[in-house]
Amino acid sequence: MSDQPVRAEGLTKFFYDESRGEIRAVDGVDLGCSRGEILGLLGANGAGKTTTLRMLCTVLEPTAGQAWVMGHEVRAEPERVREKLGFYSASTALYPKITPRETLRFFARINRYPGARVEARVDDLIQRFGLADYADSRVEKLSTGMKQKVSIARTVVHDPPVLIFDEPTVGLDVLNAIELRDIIAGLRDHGKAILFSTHIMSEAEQLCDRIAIIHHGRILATGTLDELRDETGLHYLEQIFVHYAQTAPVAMADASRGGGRLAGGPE
Amino acid sequence: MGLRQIWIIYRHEVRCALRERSIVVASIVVPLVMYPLLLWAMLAGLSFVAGQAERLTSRVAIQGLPEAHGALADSLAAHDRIRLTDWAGDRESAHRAIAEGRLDVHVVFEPASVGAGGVVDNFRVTIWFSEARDRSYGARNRVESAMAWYREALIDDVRRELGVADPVWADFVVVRSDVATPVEISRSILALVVPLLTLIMVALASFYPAIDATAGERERSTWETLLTVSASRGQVATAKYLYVATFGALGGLLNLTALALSLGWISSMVGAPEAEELAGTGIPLAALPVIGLGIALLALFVAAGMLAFAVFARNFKEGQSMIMPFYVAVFLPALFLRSPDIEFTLALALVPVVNVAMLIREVIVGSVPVLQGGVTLLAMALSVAGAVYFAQWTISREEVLLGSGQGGLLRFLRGRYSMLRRQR
Amino acid sequence: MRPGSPVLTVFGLEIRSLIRDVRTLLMSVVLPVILLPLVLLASARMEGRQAERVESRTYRLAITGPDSAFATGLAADLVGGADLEEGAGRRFWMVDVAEPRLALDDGVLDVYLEAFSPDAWGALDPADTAGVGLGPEHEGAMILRIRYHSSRTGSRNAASMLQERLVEVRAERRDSILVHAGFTVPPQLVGAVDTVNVASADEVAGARLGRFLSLILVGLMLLGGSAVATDALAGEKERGTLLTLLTTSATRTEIITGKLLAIMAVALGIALIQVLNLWFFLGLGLIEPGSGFAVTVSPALALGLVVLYLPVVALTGGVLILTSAYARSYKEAQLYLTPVLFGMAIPTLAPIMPDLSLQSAIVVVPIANLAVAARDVLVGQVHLPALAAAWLVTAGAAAWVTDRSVRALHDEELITGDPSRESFLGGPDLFRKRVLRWFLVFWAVALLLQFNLPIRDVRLAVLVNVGLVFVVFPLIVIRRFQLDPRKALALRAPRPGVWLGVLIGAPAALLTGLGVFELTQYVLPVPAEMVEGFGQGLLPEGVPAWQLILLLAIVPGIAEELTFRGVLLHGLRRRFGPLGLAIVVGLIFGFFHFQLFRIPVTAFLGAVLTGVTLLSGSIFPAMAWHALNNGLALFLATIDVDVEALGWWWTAGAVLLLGLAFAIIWWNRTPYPDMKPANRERPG
Repeated sequence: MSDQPVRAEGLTKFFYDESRGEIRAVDGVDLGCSRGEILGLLGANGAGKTTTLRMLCTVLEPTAGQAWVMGHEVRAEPERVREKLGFYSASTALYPKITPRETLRFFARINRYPGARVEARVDDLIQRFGLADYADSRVEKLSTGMKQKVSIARTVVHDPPVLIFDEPTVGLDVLNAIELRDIIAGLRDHGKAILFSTHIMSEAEQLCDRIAIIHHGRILATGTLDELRDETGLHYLEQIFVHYAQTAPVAMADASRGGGRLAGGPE
Repeated sequence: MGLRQIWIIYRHEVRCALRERSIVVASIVVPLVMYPLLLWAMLAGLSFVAGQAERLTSRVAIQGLPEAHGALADSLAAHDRIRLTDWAGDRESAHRAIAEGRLDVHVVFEPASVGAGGVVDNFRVTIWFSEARDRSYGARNRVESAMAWYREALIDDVRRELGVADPVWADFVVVRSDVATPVEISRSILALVVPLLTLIMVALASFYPAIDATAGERERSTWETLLTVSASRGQVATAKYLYVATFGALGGLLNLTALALSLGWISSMVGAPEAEELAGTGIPLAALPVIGLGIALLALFVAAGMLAFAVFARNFKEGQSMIMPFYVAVFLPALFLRSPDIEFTLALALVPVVNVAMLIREVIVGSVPVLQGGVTLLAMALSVAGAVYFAQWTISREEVLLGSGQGGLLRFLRGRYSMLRRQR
Repeated sequence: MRPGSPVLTVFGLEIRSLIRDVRTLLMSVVLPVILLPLVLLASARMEGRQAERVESRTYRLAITGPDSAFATGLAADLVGGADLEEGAGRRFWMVDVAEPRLALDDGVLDVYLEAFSPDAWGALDPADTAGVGLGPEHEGAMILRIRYHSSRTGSRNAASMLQERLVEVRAERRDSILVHAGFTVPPQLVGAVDTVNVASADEVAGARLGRFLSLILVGLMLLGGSAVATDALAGEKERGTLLTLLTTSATRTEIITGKLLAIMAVALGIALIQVLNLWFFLGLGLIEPGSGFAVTVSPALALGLVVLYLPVVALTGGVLILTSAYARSYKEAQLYLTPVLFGMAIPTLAPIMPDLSLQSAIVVVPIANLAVAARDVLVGQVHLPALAAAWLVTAGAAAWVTDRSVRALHDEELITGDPSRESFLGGPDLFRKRVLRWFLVFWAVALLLQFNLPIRDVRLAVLVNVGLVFVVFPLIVIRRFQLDPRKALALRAPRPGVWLGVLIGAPAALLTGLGVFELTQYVLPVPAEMVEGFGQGLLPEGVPAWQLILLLAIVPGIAEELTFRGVLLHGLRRRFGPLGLAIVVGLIFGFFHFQLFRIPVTAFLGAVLTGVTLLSGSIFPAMAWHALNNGLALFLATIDVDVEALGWWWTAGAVLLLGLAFAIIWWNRTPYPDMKPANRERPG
């Protein structure tokens, strides 16, 4: 076993989508992410990015395949896995009735951060993220940008070695997005292993150390931007992405094939 | 006025509502199914309790019964719900047994202190029982009525010996005869039940649509979409108002329909004879238009009130909390209409909601309170107009539309007030 | 639990969120706390005024009839003039009216009294005196008839009061007759009866309170707890915070436990606040504690009650959180809450049953058992082993319900809101998921029809009720879910040997069913008149025998089997094992027979028929069996055999025969296809 903090082998999830029927939302995904590295998952809407990341953080259970976070398998030890990671996405909201300070305290405690150090850690984060002015007013009264900072702070409050950002910049203005990317880069420099999904090419270009192109549930290529350039002979990531997407075999499982590996198939 | 725009929005609202499970359940299914379900539950419960009570035999211990009155013990033993048990222990142990539920009554005979007169071995009886136990209490009643019969027979023997003639002794007999027809009885019961249930159903049926039309719009972020179409705010508000009122009235009417269908059953449950012939005749036909009008007025009033309260809500939960005080305010007075003795005075006719309930009650029993009816109509029309005006006014305020009016009606009004003062 | 554990952290968050949600707090705590005493106060005042009015009201009475002079003499001390205050009996004004009957109808009179000599009574139109039974002991007596209008409260009260008073007058007159005739002893001392209550006032009050305490407490807890519960999972889904919570390292069990504790604390807290609230108002004397409800509660008793109710609190909280777990939004949770409220209230009514002892089957019914136990404790009767068993049963139920909530948090469809495979694809798979829901709706429709069908002719009613409804429903289901009719209705030929089993089994099962009926009488006794009334309703007179057989045996045999052993069994086949299927299908079949006393017997028949279908793989033997069963029952009813008098050996023989029939069918079996595999791993 390699010592990569995040590793997945043959990760597969059947998914049922109103518009497309039964598909393999994620189909045999292999990936790995090292310390101090940002791995970008690049794909169009519905490519399987969110499903992959949700399986890694144990919200969804893989139909097949395995994944490890800091050596803990996602199905065998989901609690240990979640202890080691911070998950952030546009759809993870905050509790409106409590203050940022209370939010951080809550997530530190519930993620088993050593009790004696909680206060120091919370104070530290409040300083670092510039939350001091509104640390004690209720979350429901904060602006979008402030809420986003609180959200990131709560993601890292228990100092997890692995961080997962699922399309974090969706719905943010340019300044906020830039600030967020700076924070994520800073976290990498602190030695975190970071998984970052996006459908924005420039973002992936700027931020990611390595990029995995995911399309219709399959990883089509993985590598640094230079490696991908070499392989395709194209310069811009956008061109590279389109190249892979167009030359990929038709990977989409059609609805009529049915889910052979699911319990209780059709009659 | 742009009736066409209103009609388009109204139709859109109704169509969406009919696809919303919560609204369909609260406004259509519940009013229709409630009566049969309640009846079934009541029937099942009644037969269960009746069966339980009938099964219970009373365990009776007798002590010190004089030889001469052996017939009493025989008559008790012959009762198929009384079981005589021998009690060997003392009085205290018997009382303990009663308290613990092992024995139901302890009947102790003692010689009477007064002279025998014409009665051989005159006695007095003490029946020990526990009021804390239903079974013991029932046993006491059984033994007591058996004793009453026996006493009467004893005294009857005495008077025969004394030569009192039969007709003198028989004296007179009292019989009761009810002149009310089954229809009248069933109407008097309906008059108590229908107004309250109609009110409940109208309010329940408007509840979900009112929140859906306001907070729901904000939750789905469709408010702004709706406001950017080429209809005035007044038209949007009117359409929404009519939509909520429609569902309220629908709930009330369905409730009435279900009731009419179940009427035969209800009458047979309350013991009116020839229940089958009653079906459909319980509510006089002439009363139906009045009841219909009453439902419409209630729906219009309730819809306006609920919209005015719910319009500040940002989500379903807030909407619910905000409507609740209005809901309670509508219900509370109605709770006191349970009493059959309240008269429909002119003063009552001035109280909105209560007056409609009273009017419905009066027309069901067949009376025609013209004056009170007119006052009711007037009072309701005024209050509906007031409520509609208020709802219109709040809905058209910008700060409400854009959802910045946090904190509900009170804070909104306070904000308006301070704004007015500043302008001055 | 160490401080800082995830359970306590989640608990703290829930409580803090509630306390800061001022509006919810106002609605679920403050408003009820103000309203409850207010409503009680007002309704007590109203009842008081009404009672006062009844007390003080003077009724308008007229006396008529051929012998009115006699009645006037008797009633003299009832009718008051100016001195109404004096004498409790003087409550009537005499009114002179020409037409008392019309006056009564118009409300001018409350009641009138007609007096007849025996001869005058005999001369009345028989239609007028119908329904009045006069025994031989009334030979030669005068007849006093009280006429009143029962749809008016005043008239009803007046009639009762008048009757009561007249009976008293007669007793007084008899006493004086005896004394005049020379009877020396005061007549009331002949066989004088005295009753003594051995229960203390506290015990009596405890018994009264015990009947309703559980209902009140559970009601208060449900209303209070629901404020947190709907927010706890459904609200989190709506806000999107559930996903955040699920990606923390807290386990699902820890999350549910923390939230459950919060719900329990709030439910208990609000219930206690309300109890104290009432106590306060009772203490001030603003509310009268109903007649004899004043029970003194010692601290030890109060503590005992709290401990006793703990599992009830846990189960109530568990049910609430489960409801919340299944709802996708706050609104949906709210919608589910009403049926949950009613469903939970039913078992709390158990203590109303007269003489329901805790040492009976009730001990295994969660909530109901502790409700009965609480009544016993209040009366001062404690049977410790039964009480402990009841406590454990309800606690176990609470644990089970909580476990279901934890599993719901593993359900990906519920967490993410994405449609599951079945609900997306529709068709037969979806039917397996929805079958129970469809049958619930069907049950409501059937109930509606059963009670409301405005058809006078019994034949037509049966044809519509059974024939049409039970044929149409399977067809709708088959069409809606695109089922294969042959599979869904098990339309396959059984092996020939099965028919012999049916021939032996049907009469045997009928007799066994009668035994089952006798057995259930111990648990669910039924008033005899009800059973007789049912029999009479079923056998309409003047209907030819062939029509009876067709309508009551053959049509139900075919139609009901299509529904129950057809689509229902098909839909449930992979959800339970064979035994479970027999029980569940049987019970649902039973509940479609509505009358409480018919449910156990029909459920038994339903279970047997399910067994037959499962073993023969075909619906036809069940149809034949069902028709034969109904036909035989019809036959027994027409020849008027007293089956109950047959004795236990008939039942024993029938059980043996039924076993033989099943053995024959077993030897000729064709198993029902596509059943649930024997060892399936637990989901979640």
